[in-house]
Amino acid sequence: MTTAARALGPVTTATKFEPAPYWAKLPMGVTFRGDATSVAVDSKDNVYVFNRGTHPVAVFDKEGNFIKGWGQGEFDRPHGIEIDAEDNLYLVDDGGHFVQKRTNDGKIVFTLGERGTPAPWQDGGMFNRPTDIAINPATGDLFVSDGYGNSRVHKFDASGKHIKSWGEPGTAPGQFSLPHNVCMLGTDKIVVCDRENFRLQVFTTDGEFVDQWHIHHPMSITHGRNGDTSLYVGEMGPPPVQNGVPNLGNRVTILSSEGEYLTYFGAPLPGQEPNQISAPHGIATDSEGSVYIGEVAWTFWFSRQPTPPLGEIVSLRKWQRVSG
Amino acid sequence: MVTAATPRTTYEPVFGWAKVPHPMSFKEATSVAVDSRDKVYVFNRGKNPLMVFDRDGNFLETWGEGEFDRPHGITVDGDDNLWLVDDLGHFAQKRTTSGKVLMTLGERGKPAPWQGGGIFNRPTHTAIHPTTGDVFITDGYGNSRVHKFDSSGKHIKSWGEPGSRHGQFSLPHNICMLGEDRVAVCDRENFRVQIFTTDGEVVDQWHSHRPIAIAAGKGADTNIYLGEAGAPPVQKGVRRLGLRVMVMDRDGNMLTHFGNELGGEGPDQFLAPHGIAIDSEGSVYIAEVSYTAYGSLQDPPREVASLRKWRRVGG
Repeated sequence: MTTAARALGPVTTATKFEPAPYWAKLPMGVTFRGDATSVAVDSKDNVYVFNRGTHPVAVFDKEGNFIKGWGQGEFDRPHGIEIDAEDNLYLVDDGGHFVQKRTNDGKIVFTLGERGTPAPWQDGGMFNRPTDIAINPATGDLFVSDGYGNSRVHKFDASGKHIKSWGEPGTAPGQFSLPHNVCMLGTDKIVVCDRENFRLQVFTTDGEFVDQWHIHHPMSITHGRNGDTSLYVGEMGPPPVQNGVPNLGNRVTILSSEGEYLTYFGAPLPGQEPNQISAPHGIATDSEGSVYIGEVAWTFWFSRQPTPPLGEIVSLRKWQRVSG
Repeated sequence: MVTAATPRTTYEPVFGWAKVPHPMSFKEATSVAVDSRDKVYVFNRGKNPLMVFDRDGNFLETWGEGEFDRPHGITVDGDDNLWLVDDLGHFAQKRTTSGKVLMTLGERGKPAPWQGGGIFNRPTHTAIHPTTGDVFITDGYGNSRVHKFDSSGKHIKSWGEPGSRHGQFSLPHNICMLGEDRVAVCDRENFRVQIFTTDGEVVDQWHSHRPIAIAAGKGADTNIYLGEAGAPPVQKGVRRLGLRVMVMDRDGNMLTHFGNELGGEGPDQFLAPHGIAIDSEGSVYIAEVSYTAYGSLQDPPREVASLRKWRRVGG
């Protein structure tokens, strides 16, 4: 017997989260190779991990049991994943310069951009190393952050027709320095992680600048579900000059839908312990208030250690909302 | 004396301003200060760590050879004394303009424990209160703190800790007075300027692109001049990401800015702003660690321009 999940309220300053270590059960031979870049949750609370390992799309049920994996050879460099209200998948491949809509079982619906063919660097075309996508639940419009080589947000309708683009390189309002993640804020605004500008920028769905919120190195963002309107922001660590200094990113900060700081979780320093977070690159929430974090733990942290660890490196975290 | 700059104020670069007697060399100018007579003091990492110039860039004198481990920051106080901060030497020193040591805070070569809150671990810069003479020191690369001393060098208090929340720091790199009751701190790797009362209470934060150098105007010029560092390697070559000077009012509103959209060696470009000072005519001096950031990476390595003067020409 199934029952609808109890509705959640927004997170408050009193809300507590706890890590759920060892959640994902990987069949021997399946590996994320330390880079579970991004994660999305469908209407049944199944979890999709877009990773740089053996099975680019790895699917788990909410208990962490492996359901299936697919996509071998079909992606150049997994980067971002999102799921729409009909449980379709949207996959963003930065090294391949394309965005793909697929059915829940992996069948391609349409492809935006052409695999292996980048638009000119920083020139506004589609795409040059795109990073993430958000889907408007009311209209089906798509918003793609683009990305490493093109300081833009592109808007498409639900069929994939290009509507408009905005942004340019820079630090002023409406300019970007590496737009790295994007999510809906209700149905009339979007929030962009302007990663190397250390801020979130809020826009109307027509691209009008609304506000900016200062934050440490924002890398990933999502909103709550099931009555939780909070925003969950994964903060990247500091630059190398501050390596080893505690309380600088490598955590999840939770904001109200107005951008007010509520709380955070994650230990003061990155690492492999259950309460540590290393390079939180993608983030998603489920109907129970749990938070999944996909980390590029190998690329941004462990590959840079004097003695990189052997074996499977933690790159996927689940934290459960336990009170408040 | 000039009045405060406005959004219509314009600046132009003065190419080749400092005339350095051959074969002296800055290697790189880390920081710069201007006294009440518009003499310019350049604290640099060459063999002659302190060089003095008149406002036209004519060399006047040098001192300090062998007396510093790694020059980092310089400030002039209201009595035309100099405050020199040596980050790898872990000390701050008050000297006359001719180089006589009046006071040393910290002990050369003896760092406090890393991030432990003591005095000092790689300090960066000082600000001097214009009436009380209180001294505020940012500390720095190894210690996310501001230390406050009275004018005799007695430690009064310290504040800050590592982190990104209000009142915490990620590399406090420069500091200046905002009038008499506040200090502004370049919280460099937090991409913000934090404003505190002189007792260390957080008042405000101004979002900014990697703020690395800050100074207040002189006299009736109440503006704040902020040097922004460039972007991290992942954004190399992208336009309009720091490497410029923002001219702001005391509330943090940007009035205007100067510097090319891209870094480089051209007369209107910056490579690595690191220290900043303003003279009585409203001209802006910018010291750059351009050897560390650029020259040392060339093949073969070479010294490149590391001291820029921009003259206020209109508005």
